[in-house]
Amino acid sequence: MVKYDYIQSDDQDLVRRTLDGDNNAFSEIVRRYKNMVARTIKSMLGDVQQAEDVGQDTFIRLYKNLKDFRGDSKLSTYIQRIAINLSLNEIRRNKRFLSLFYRTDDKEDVKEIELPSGDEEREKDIKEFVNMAISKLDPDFRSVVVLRTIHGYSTKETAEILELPVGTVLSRLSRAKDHLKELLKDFE
Amino acid sequence: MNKSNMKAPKLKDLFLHSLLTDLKSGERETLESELFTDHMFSEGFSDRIMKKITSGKILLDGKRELVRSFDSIFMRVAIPAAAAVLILVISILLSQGSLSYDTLLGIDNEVDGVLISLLVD
Repeated sequence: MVKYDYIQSDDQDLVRRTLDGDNNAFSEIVRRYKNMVARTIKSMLGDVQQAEDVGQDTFIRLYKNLKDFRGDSKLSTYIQRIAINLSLNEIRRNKRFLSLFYRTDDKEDVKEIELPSGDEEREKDIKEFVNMAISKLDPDFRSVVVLRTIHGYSTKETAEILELPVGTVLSRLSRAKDHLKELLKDFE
Repeated sequence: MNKSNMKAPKLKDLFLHSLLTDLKSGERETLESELFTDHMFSEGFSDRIMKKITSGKILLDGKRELVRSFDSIFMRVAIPAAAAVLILVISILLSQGSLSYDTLLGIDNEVDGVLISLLVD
């Protein structure tokens, strides 16, 4: 009997096999997309324990909803959509809880962190600073920036993942750019 | 383009440029390697998911959400609550000179009398 080659299979085939009860096929989907999901969720939430939980929820949600996946879009798009939506839910939930105990200020200022003076230090810190600036963005703007710049999706693909009109994505990107320019203005 | 020699301001400009413009492949690689962290989940991530799926634990998702909500709220409530209890105990000690169940509960002898007279009636 010939052993089925999960690694060589395309996504549609793996989905079909999962729906037929083959858990090894779903395991291959997780293996294929876990780094993509980690990148999305950790860029949205930061490298925190919650990110791991949201990652698990993403694949469990996918498993539960796989029967509704019609294949109109790519499986990766479908997974990204779940990951972004669950990340946004987590951010909102955290914000709601925090607002019960603290006054949360949306306009936290990235400039509060002292800029390094030496050229070498600045080179080293630009990475940290850019990631921090992204994390300071409003979650709706953050999601378009993460998909567009970190994952390199086109504006059309970003719109498809977020289920938004392309015009809205462009306008959010433009506003995010202005905000990021302001946050990073000391790096001249 | 020499990745390692790219100065911070140039990287910043490239990053901002990437928001509204499609980058060339070399530029994309520069951003990937110089600016973005390659995030990954911890070891055994896939196994934990598959274990949950095969053991049927995913049905308890709603319950887990609730527990997680309580988890995140617990520390924020527990510390101020412990501080409040400590302040209360200290203030009782200072004003009453001793600690007893009655003083902790805010019941003094006069209240006892009132309660007894009410019960007798």
